[in-house]
Amino acid sequence: MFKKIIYFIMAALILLGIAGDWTRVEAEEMAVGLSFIYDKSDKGYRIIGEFLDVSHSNDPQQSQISRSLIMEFEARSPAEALQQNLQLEKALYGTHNRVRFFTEKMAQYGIEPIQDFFFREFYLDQRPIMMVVKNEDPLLLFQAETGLSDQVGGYIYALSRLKEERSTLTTFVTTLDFAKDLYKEGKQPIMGVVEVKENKINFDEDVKEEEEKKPKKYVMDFEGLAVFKEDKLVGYLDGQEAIAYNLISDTVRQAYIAIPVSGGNISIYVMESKSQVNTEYLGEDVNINIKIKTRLAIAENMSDYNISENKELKKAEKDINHFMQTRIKEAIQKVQTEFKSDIFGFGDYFHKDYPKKWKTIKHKWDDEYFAKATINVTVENIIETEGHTRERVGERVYAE
Amino acid sequence: MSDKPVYPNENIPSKATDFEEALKGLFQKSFDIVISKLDTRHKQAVIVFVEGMVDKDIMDRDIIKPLKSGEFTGRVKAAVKCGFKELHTMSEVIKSVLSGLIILYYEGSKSVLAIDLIKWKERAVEEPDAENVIRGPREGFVENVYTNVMLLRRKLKTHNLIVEKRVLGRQSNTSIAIAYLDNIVNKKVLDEVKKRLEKIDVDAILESSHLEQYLEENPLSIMSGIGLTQKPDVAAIKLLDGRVVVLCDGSPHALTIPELFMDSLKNSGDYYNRTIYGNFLRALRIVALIISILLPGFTAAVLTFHHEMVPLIFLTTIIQAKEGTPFPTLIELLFLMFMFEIIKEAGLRLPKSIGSAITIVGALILGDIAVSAGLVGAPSVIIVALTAVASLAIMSLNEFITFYRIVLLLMGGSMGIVGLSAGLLIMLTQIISNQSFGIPLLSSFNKVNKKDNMLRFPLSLIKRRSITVVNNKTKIGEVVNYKGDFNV
Repeated sequence: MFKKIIYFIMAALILLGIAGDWTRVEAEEMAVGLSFIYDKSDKGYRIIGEFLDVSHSNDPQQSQISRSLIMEFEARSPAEALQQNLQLEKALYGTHNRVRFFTEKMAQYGIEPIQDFFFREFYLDQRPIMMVVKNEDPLLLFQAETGLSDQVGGYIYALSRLKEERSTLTTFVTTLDFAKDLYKEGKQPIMGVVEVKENKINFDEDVKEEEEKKPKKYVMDFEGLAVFKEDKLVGYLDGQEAIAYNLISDTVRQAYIAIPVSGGNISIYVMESKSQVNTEYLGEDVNINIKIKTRLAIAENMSDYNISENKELKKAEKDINHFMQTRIKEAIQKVQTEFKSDIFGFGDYFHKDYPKKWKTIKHKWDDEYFAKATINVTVENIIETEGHTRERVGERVYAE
Repeated sequence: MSDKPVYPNENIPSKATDFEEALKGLFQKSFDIVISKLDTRHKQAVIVFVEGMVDKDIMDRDIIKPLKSGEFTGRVKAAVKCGFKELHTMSEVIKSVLSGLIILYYEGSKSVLAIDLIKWKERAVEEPDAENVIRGPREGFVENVYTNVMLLRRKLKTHNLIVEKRVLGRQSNTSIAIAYLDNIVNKKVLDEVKKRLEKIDVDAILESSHLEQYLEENPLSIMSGIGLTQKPDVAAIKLLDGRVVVLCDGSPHALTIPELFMDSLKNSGDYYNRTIYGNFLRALRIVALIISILLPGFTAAVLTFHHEMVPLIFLTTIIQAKEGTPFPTLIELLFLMFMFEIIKEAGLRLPKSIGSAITIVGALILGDIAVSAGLVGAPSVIIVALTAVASLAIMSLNEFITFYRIVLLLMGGSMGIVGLSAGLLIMLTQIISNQSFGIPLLSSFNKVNKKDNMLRFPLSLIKRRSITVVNNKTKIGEVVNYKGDFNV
């Protein structure tokens, strides 16, 4: 009987020794990082971190809202900057990190060296969203409004969760997504962008002077995408081009897009979108055929078309098809000529269609084959529902 | 010191004076044993009884008056107006006196009459505190073993219900009753129970918990494999399931043997309520079991090792609460758990009126002040309170839960999820390897018993007895299907 107890204690001790998780940290001993800006500096790397700060929350004079603490570190490498610094008195904790920002300088220099740090360090993970900061001064990010959230990290995380499937103007790319694209043959990576802009409000004349004396207010703008070639930033796409990118790469789930047709806009609600890509190899020339099929609903109709009539509806459908077709083509052409970087992953389709040929041309794909490829885009839209009303609201009033 | 009584010999003395002397020699220092000589028209008689244990009115009317009357002919057996038993040895006489019988000695006769007019003050049959029910009978066992057997007989009016008597304890001579249904009981278990009862040779059995500890197989195991109930209807259900019920004089707790793991999670309420609600209650109890064993360990593991599992908003609250408290999470949880155990123990032993005061002081004031004084964080108080409430939902497994809660807390708090898993493995190994009277504790998890295990099927669908304990598939009986009978 007592033997059993001794065995039990021995087993527990052995377990403690060999399986014990020695990374024990109490919650209050951690500095929870929420977002980090990575910048290239003369010394090496400059990292600006946003940390969760609850030190004032027990003070009744202060509001209960947790705030953030901004700290700047500089060293020869990111690991050294974050761990060797003598400013942070608590253990750095990175698994609640939501966003990784890169300055333009950093992104143009190349992300790969720092990517290795993200994957190797045990207190970091691959979930944070990656973004390029367009501004010269990245610290403006922490002066910008953060919506209804307390911190920049939380703001962008909440935004990405809501807008990932509802907006096509950008794409929220996580560290893992970026790495997948970076190491995949036949696809170049992209990243979201953020630009901090002044929040300009047109005040009335009588308060204008007073309001303008107050400190400036900033907002963040996330429209567009950053195009990378290998791990280096080569340029940007705007919001409309980002829609084309999202339609081709099949990431649109629900989205509202305004299409200019004769007389005004028709806003469509994309309920489902599917893209099909196939490639043709015609002796040194590559044809890329893209077919996009969508199921749409009309969200608003401000155009001349009376979509309650089938004929007019078909016309509107045609217009929408044409508009989308040209826009997608334009976007691809921009990438082909300006960036020569296959961010759409056509090379991957070519690899599947012509696996033997791919091996011989893969090194030249972006610069020679993708840049010169002929692109054929066909868009097939089906308007499934016109919404709650068939007629335009107010039409009858006008008729009278 | 020898346990044998000191008297000259086993034979009943032929003279009243000798008989009186022999008994007086034995009981001279006990004031409650009345030994008095009666002069009748013929020879002398001696009457012996324990003060307070007999009905004196009836003794007067049916024994003393007839002996004293002028019509007494000298034939005692004819004169006594109530039932009696004849005793032939002195040791029988002494045992009978101490059990509350009236001893009537008549000079010259070779035997002594033992008359049962036992009447003593006892607690009325009332609802037991620990097993309150909303629906179902409210009577509970009392301290008198005969009353308890009567309560059982009233539930099961069959000749198959056999109640055997044993007397245990060299000094206490406690009556033990072994009850079982002859046609259903598992004979192997019954034989084992009898064998173990025979081996018990101790000074006294004052409570059924003594008995439990002498009967169980592994005194250091955390589960005894023996169930406890204070309710005759629960005991009857156990008997019908092939269990052996052991009653002990002086204890309102009946032992049911064997008690498997799932039995601890079952409750008579499960069967008295309608199927869906009964199942809901059982599921609730299983959830409570998981919470009460795992929650503190899991919390300690997650809050000290795996912060990535905690949502950011909750983590913010935790950091806010822990900011300014001196101890690690593990110590906080341990401290609060011990505090709760102390409050529980204190509240249990005190008179009810003070008990509730202790609860208020302990739970409200101590908990609240500990947080506002910055001794512990509020989340730890919530975790321990939740665990405590959950563990009270399954009182039958109280010892088991309390022990493993602390083990898992220590392992989870020092080794994270790895330690917690290792602790769980140790716990499961122990439950799996434990047996109760030859039946594995987890054996009720089998194909045939599925209708009344984790879930209870409608009673009309449970057509066969569980085979776990009873090794036969006895049909419970044809169940009438009333569907359509009421179409008028």
